[in-house]
Amino acid sequence: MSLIPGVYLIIRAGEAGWDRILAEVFTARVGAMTWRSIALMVVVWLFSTLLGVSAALLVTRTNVPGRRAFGILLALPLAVPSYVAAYTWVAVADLWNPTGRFDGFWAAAIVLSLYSYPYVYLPVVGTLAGQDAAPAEIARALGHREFSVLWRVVLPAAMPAITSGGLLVALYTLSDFGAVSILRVDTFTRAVFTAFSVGFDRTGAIALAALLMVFALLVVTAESLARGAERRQAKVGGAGRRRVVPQDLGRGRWIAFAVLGGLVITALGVPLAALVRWNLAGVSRPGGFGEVISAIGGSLGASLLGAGLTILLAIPLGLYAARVPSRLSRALERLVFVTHSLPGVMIGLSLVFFGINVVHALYQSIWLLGLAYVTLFLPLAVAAVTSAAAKAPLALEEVAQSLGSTPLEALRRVTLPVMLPGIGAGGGAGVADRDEGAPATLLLRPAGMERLATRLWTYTAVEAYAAAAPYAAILVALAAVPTWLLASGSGAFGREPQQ
Amino acid sequence: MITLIVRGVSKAFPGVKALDHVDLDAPAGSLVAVLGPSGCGKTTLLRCIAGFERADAGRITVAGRVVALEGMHLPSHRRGVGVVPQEGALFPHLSVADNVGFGLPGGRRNSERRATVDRFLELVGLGGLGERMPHELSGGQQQRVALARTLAPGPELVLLDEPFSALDAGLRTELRRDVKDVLRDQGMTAVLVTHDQSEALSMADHVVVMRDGRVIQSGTPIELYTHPNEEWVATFLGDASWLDGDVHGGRFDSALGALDVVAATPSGSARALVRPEQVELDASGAAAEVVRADFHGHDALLTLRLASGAGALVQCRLAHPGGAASGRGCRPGQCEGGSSAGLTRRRPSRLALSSAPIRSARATSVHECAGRTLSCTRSGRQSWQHRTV
Repeated sequence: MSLIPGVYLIIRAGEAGWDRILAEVFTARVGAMTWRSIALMVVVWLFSTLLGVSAALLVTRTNVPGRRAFGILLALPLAVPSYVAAYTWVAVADLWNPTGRFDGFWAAAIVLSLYSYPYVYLPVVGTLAGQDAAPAEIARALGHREFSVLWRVVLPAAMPAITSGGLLVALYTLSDFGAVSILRVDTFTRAVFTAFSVGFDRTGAIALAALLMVFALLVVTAESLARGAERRQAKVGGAGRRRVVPQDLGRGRWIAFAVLGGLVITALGVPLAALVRWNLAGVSRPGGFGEVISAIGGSLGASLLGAGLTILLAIPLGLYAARVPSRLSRALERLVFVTHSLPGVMIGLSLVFFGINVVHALYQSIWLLGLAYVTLFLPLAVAAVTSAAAKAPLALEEVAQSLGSTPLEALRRVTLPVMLPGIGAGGGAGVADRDEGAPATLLLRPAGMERLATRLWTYTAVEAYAAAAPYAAILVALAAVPTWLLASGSGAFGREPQQ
Repeated sequence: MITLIVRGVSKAFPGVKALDHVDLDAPAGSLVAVLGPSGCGKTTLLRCIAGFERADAGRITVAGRVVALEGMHLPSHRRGVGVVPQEGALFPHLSVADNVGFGLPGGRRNSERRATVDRFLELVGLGGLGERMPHELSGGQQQRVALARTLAPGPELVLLDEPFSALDAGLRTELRRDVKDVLRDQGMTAVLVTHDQSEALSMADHVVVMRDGRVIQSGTPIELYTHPNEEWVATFLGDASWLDGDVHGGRFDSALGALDVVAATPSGSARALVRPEQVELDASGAAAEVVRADFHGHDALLTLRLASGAGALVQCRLAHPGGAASGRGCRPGQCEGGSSAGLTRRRPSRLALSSAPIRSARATSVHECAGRTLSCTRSGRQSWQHRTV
């Protein structure tokens, strides 16, 4: 399934001929765009890592006031889709300064960083909260100061989480379409979409998309190279783990409180304020209510179908990747990540191609939309299943079998129930977030079907903030629930099971 | 009747021969320990018996039914073999009662099933804890639940995979004893895999020692301890010292003096195994120097360098280190005067011995491991038994 976009790209590129592709790629405009896309990716990656890691450290390792509440609040920006975030920032900035518009490179960098740092924050919190106190204590006993312990023991141990979170941020930025188009930054994704919608310049779009995929491959390869050495972190002794005693920051804890508070207020406050304001303005609009309801229906129907299909595919794939660490399983995992970096519109187009040329019966049906969802969400679902699979080791299934369960029964009675909460929370957050399949949805939806994201899209395009607000609010609310579950269920803040 | 018969089982992983023609018998109602260092293939053997791993060659029979043969592999859910894994592996999403009832027929409300669950929880000493979740239990309690879960469906055979290794020492001893009692009480045949020699010796009726995928020796714990057929087995099973000497004319000449050999022992040079508890301190024996003293509370282990015999080291266990016959005792870390002829104390001395100077260390059991086996069993008398390996 993840191969469809890649295959499509190769077929179309082949049809167009390499000369034209190369001519399309090596132009000054593409050069500037490449530079801009990469710069944006690097800036967002740096900001997100900085924000995510320091927030995670403050929340798990210090006595900053209200750390439990912060722990969950800091994850919530994940629930705000990038285009909703961009739209609310533009709307709020409009109130301040009606003449100028909040847009450009740095606007996009700020918005994307503020809403993608949880990709780093969440896994790092998980790792830090699970860390044994002993290595840090030993480092201290060997004469290292707090800061040096942090730098040489605590952070290196969290490195895999930091790099894989960073990978997600980089790919997310590379493939983001919503925020960059609302904030008017010319990146690859925006160019691909423009090439398609204006004048249907397929060759140009395909050439750009192919280049984008090459970048994604480079990022994923770089990440796996960087991680190669870190994979082999010995996990010593299962028993007797002690929790880390939070570091007393003294008076500094109020500064930390202010910093975290400021982060939460900027990241969550702006969208909340904008949504409240424009919703109040929007409810007075006649006929709005019915329209909203029908869009919710469309959204839920397609999402549920997509989510169902995705989970069905992700469970075997994720279990395979987690349990049989082989070259093949790692390649599969990586392929799924690369596909993740493709802009939604590419996925949409490749599926239209697939629908017309391969399975015509599906074209213009909700099933093809479902397939688009699968392609969009599979990376996140596989990641969610892989991490949930760690909670359901093979030993449990073997014990079940020795107690008389067939392998299938063991899967149904043990592995799935143990994994489901993790998959649900992880997958749900991802699904809600990637609902930015807006462009894909625009292309694939059966005629007349409305979805929340498409509505929002249409209205934002014409700067009808008030009309767009209800859709944005509902999208955020839908996304917030699984994110909340993910953050609170990570075990970092809740009750620790005694082992 | 023999519940478990393993014959010629081999298993190779890429680059490693995990099992090499392994044979093993477990008579009905017995507890057999498979003992070996980590990586010796003992866990692979257990996984082959359980059906988690497919043997490359050989035959496994459980309760008269062949479960594995070349080209034939009965899946584990049809073998009737229960497993208690390391660290319990309780199902985290199920209550203690549901864990125990997992392998039983009938729904949760089935009264027969509930009665069985309660009976087995009672049996492992956890009556009334059925509603708890696994994470609310201590490590030892989790292992008890895992045992109850395995026993409840009435398997033919129970396999225990280092079930006590994650527990702390005090708890481990208590749980070992309880598990042994429960298994005996149920008349259950069990195979225990462990790397801990004291666990194997104290729990099992029969011990199988493995190394590098092969069975090195098997027998009762006493046989193995007193008649190991290799130096490696002797050292693996407990503290051991070695004496070189010559056998001629029915006597073994060594640094501890000339010892009688009972049966007809071929003459020639030989090497003997001396266990620390076979050496006594005696004023009339061979002269020795205390090189090291390790105090263990219930006893103390002395390392002695014999004056004769090219400075051979022999260990000696003192049964009452706190209060020796003379009343003065021997206390580690404390230096006392009163040494004399036989014993030259090392300086700085770490141990004071009883007022009677130690002049001899008398071997009471000597065992030779170079193809021929010599051993002497009765304390004080130098009698030799001979056994050909």
